[in-house]
Amino acid sequence: MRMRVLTSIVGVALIHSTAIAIAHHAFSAEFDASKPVELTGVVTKTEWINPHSWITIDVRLDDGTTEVWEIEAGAPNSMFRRGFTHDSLPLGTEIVVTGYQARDGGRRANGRNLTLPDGTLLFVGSSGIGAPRDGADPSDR
Amino acid sequence: MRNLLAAGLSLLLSAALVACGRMDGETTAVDAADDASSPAERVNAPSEQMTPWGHPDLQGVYTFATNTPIERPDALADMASFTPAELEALEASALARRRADVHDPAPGQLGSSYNAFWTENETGQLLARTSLITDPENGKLPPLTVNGQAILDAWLADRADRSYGEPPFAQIAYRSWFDLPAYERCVARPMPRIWQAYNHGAQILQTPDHVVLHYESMHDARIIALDDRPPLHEDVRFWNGSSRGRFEGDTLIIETANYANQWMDGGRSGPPIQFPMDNMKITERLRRVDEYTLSYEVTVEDTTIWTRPWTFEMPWVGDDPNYEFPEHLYEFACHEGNFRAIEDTLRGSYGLR
Repeated sequence: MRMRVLTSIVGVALIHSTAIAIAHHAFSAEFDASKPVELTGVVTKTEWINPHSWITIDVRLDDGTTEVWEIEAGAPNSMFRRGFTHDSLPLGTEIVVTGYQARDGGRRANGRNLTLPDGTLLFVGSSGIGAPRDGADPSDR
Repeated sequence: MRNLLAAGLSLLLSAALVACGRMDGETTAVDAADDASSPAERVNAPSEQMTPWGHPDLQGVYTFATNTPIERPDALADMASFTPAELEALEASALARRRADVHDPAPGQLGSSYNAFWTENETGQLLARTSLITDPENGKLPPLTVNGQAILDAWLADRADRSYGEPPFAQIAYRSWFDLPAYERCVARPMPRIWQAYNHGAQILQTPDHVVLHYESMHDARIIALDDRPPLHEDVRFWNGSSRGRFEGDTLIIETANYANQWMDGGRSGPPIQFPMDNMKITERLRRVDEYTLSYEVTVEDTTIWTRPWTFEMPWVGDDPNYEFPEHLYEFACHEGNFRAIEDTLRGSYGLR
């Protein structure tokens, strides 16, 4: 009985985790869960705007041409609360972004993880911005 | 201009709090030093925390984040509260789930794509109770009226009509900006504030004749008169409604009606409680229960929707390190139109349909 009860509550919590995403955002219409992307590019513009900040990067393709991609990130308030400031991502920084592409096929994506070339996870579990050391960041040794 | 006004308001509120000597985290030491004869009583007798003009002093910075669902889950129908051991086990599993959300999402799980890293320190705690709802006693919303059921049925049918694909890739399409809630458009955060993804901070400021509830999210400041002025004409409507406040004993009671045409937002509720607020009356009761905690009790009444009023209760926590001082309520300045997001959402919806 007790296990059943606890399992039920965990189930409720899982439902709630989905609600987190839709709290200030119609993700499902804006981005396409079946179009994961991984982009390597140089930061050319940052826009720290609530409820979502945007990071623009130049992505150099194999043929030598460049594509401009815009990456949606978290609310500046939340980022600042986790220790991320205006100076944490200088223009010219090369980053690797994983996320999901815009549903309309445009060169926009929501950024799930942003990684520096040395492998530091910038947005997840990074020790560099005061996040808890939970073992997920390889640099947390 | 809006930014300047918002910044000015924050400064005023902060300055006023300092003037009142009620900066959270410092008050205890100051009060205890001033009242050396009975420091223990000061800490343990919240009813003795009064303003110089004799009102209960509720001022401070709080967070209303909580992990407890508004309705009691069906599986816990006979269980109003958890044991301490159960609560500990549930907190541990919730933490494990959050870490999985951040680091190892399931395919198509867009809930993780927003990177829960940003919000995982604002998830709040589980209460010992199994629901926020305290009345009805079963922890459930009361039965709907015929009209309320018709509104819910129409809402669900409309959602189904705009749904495409199968889980985990099921999507909802939006026909126009009107399908998007006021919160998503950065226009307003509907009352009552139950749960949101982030920025749960709130600040209370008191004067002899007004109380200000300042919310970080949407940067709202509800300025509530405490005198007996008459209610506004029913044709005068506001996003946050029109409020009148009064103190009864140790409790601040705020009654609000005259809501603008918008939909109630159940926040992190299990079932949909999305209903129009035109006829809604909301009564909030704020009361200090210990040095750092307020009880926030809310009664919702709309006899056109529910067969009886219902009440939920949750803590406003005053010792959370994320919300210790007034300056921890950052300016939100939500970009009206949700900068690019609404445009992208509607463009994506055209593709879906």
